[in-house]
Amino acid sequence: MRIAFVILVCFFIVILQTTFAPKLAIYGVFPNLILVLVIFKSLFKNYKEIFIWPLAGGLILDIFSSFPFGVFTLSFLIVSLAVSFLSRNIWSSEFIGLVVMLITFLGSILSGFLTAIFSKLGYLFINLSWAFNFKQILVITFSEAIYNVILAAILFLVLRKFRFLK
Amino acid sequence: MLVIFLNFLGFRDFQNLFSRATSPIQAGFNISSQKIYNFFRAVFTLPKLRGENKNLKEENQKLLLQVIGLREKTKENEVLRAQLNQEQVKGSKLLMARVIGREPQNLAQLLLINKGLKDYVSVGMPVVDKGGALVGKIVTAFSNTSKVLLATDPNSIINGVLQASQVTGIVNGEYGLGMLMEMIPQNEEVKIGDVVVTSGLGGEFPSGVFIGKVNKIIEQETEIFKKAWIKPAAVFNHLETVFVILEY
Repeated sequence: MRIAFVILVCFFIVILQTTFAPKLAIYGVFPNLILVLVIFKSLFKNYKEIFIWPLAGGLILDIFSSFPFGVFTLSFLIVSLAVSFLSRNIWSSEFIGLVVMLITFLGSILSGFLTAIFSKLGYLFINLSWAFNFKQILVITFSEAIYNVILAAILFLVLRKFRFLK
Repeated sequence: MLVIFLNFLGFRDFQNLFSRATSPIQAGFNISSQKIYNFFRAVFTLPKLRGENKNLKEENQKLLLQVIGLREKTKENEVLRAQLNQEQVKGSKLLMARVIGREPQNLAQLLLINKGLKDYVSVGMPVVDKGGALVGKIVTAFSNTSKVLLATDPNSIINGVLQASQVTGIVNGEYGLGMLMEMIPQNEEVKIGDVVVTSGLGGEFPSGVFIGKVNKIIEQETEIFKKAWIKPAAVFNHLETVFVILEY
């Protein structure tokens, strides 16, 4: 039942990612809604309890994406693990909002580079070439990370307002 | 790495099936999000629109006069063609398609359209917007839907030509940030605002399709070639309808 709920939520967010998120693009860059969801889930709970979220989110995103299958699943699982590790003691912090934003930023940067590296490897694996321009990937990843941080800040404020946070 | 192995196990067939099932949902969501976007855009740009409206009315008057003049010239052209016994350029066969989704991440620039193999769309076909500006080409064709690789994707390589000087170059996508025209010989003159169109070399695109305009020139004396940033003619983020060129 819980797995069905996770798949349904992830599917809905990925649909929004392919239809609504591009409308928010600034200079061609738009936020990654599913990544922000995965990071938020990883912030709240232990990795073992929530790994279904990056798994389902990554798999559904992989189905919709043109990148080699598995790229997002792998990078989301790693990002979720890293975020879960980084956020073990953040709830006692006075500056929790800032910490959440910082972790979202770092998680987004990590996800961007893992996606780019796994894609390059994935394409090599299936004997296809994929343009890999480090400078441009850095610009895109950095811009997307800032966008994700803004989204995370809004989400954090909303969740705190409605007392969804501890 | 196990999941990456799935790429060999008929994953595209599964994607095709999934695409067939989800494309109506995506299309519905896309229309709704476009409506929401248009509403907020209208609200925020209302004061600006009033001024623009006045300017457009004036411009419209001027354009009407130009259209009358051009109609006369078209007639004259037809007469001259007939006199020269020249065959009209064969018209392209276009297929209208609705954009139903986009690539869900920023590192690749692709569109999902609601026409596929069933509508005689096949890989490699060029795609233009309603104004005739180049959008990209079909890279994946499923039965009901297709994926269009945008001209701003880093894997997009187009043979372009500067319309005024007929200088050729290679137009590469730059991760949605624009396009870069490379391999322009140092001795050739390039100006800001120069129109870039497809050259037709290589046969991937018909010649003369509007790509964009030069908005920055990068030249270094030590290099053999210079580069130019191209501002795309198509507005990729807000495309609702595109046209697949089935024949040209």
